[in-house]
Amino acid sequence: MTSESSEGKKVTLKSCDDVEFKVEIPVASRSILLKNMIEDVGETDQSIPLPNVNEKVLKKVLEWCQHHVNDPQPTNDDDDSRRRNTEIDDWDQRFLNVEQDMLFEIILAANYLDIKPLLDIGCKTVANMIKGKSPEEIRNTFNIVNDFTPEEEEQIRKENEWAEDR
Amino acid sequence: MESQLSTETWTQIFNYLESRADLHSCLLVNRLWCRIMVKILWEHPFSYNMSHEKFKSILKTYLTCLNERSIERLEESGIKLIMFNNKKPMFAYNEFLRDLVIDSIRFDICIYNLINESKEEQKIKKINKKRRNFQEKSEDLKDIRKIQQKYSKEGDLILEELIKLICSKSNKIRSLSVSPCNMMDYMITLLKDENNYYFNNIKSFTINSTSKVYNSYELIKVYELIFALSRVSKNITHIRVNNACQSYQSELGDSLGILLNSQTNLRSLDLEYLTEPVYYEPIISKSNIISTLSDISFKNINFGNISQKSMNSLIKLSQNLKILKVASCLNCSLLCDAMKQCSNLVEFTYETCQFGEDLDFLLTILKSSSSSLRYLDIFWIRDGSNDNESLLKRLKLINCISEHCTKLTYLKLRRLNSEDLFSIWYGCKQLEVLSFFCNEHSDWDDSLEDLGRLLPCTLKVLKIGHWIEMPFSAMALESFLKGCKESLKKLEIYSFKKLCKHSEYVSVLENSGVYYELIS
Repeated sequence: MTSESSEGKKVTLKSCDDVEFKVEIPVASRSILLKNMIEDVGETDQSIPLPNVNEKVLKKVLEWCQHHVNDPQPTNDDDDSRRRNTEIDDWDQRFLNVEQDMLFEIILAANYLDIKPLLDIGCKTVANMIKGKSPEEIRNTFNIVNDFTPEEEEQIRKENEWAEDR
Repeated sequence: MESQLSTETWTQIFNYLESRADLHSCLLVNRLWCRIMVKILWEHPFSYNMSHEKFKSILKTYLTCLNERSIERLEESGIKLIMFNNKKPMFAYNEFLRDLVIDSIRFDICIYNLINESKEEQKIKKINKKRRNFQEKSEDLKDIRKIQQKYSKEGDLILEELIKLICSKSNKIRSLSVSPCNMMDYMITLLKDENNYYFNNIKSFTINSTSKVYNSYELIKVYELIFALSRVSKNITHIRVNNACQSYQSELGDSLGILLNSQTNLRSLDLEYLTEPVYYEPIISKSNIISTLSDISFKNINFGNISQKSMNSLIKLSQNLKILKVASCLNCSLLCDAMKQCSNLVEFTYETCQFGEDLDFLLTILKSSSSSLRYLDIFWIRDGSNDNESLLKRLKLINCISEHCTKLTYLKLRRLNSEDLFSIWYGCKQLEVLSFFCNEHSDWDDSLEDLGRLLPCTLKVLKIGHWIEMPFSAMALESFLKGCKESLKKLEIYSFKKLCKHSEYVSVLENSGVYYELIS
């Protein structure tokens, strides 16, 4: 289905908390999962249930899809360059300036809906939150409990001494 | 909180971390992060730049992973390294290795250091009492050469066990970089094993050399290694040959010819520091057989006296070429006949010391690739010695770009004046990124307003560099931005001095609404 022929046509998405969103097909098609479903099922009045995404997150994800509706679809060739490029576009930076819970939920939704560019910028944002921090600072940032025994921690430290920055 | 995200997602996040310190911090956060991070860290430990001390620490950890049989073998030969007293390692670190770099000098130095350390340790603990007899000891002490020989045997044994350990999961290794050295012997044995296919998933192969190392190693071994590799590794996509020395060229050329011939999916070939034809001829003349080859990189190669056989090979190769990189090469203009065939070239990067030397070569490529070229980067350090001639040559280049390279989306050039930009604006209507250095003798103040107004609407990112002082006034910059602020998304200004941080420029940039960066 080309974006030209689908322009104006809409599809209904239903969040896990039963809220429906009418969305233009090119916007929904930013998600490869939805794009494939729409192509398989064809035109339908029935809503597409999204059991893993709630209203609040779906609204946010659709906002991103709407803004990036005209971006070229990512290709497999992009995979190699992903690691090198850690820049995040201005609008995306503002878009992801949200509570940590919401950021993680957007990443989960992007993963489930197969929206690679959104997943990428979500991952980059979390990676940027890690950069330059000590293990303890990282634990505090993400509310993680240190479950190493002191002996384990010491052994890990010793076996990976070469990677330490000193 | 962290349990919200899956292991795969955390892995993807960690892949955006590049500094070793960040990776190390993540390793110590908790058990889950440690399990993910240890795989990332130990994928290519040999590829990081590090001190001998740190490199030694990698080898120490690997040596803790040796199996009991290997440790017994070493101990039977009188080798008792301190790390053998440690408890079992937390992970089988050798199983994570994906990129193997065999660099004999670093390995040798660190292994001998480890032996020394162990001997010192033994002395301190007075384990060294059971020396066989006084005579042997005193002889050892007197004869330094003998000690070295003794250590060398111990070192070789340790290296052999180490290579055996690393190669035990060699089917997971995807990148192999070797410099000729004794450590290759064991690899050759493995590669010749008819019953197993070691290194059968290699995607990238690099052969490095320095004449010092070459001289100390048997010539035939390089041939043997590459020949053996061609039997098991059939899916290499990238081959890099770096710095072949004269005494090796024939063996290297022949074996690389066989390796090239055995590949089913070779896409990229880098030839570097093969200064004379005798070094590159055996490779280039045989590379035309690879129909999949689409990326070629030449660095520090003198194409003077290139043979007709190699030219024919290049002519055939050029038809499929998508990416071509040429850096610091001599007599490139002799390749014009081949470059006329570059009708599918998408990306071209060229680097030279003095502008103008290879103008015919550049113009030929730009004309032949006019319908395909999207990415162009031409870098030169100095303009020509004769100002007028140099100016004329630059004009020819700019006119050629403007006339033929109309589908470019990325363009990077040196030292342009405002007239050059008008030409580029006029011809390259699909340009998305332009990077250039300002010629400070050009009159930018009078032109910037028009340049802003006529900026191609596709151009999103503009990177402007300058040497000493801002070549245009803040007011001219304001006029420029006024004309293009609707389409331009990002402006980067590079400077060798911090003058560009002058407040008047900053306030113009801030008020423009265009995202900007000032980089000194």
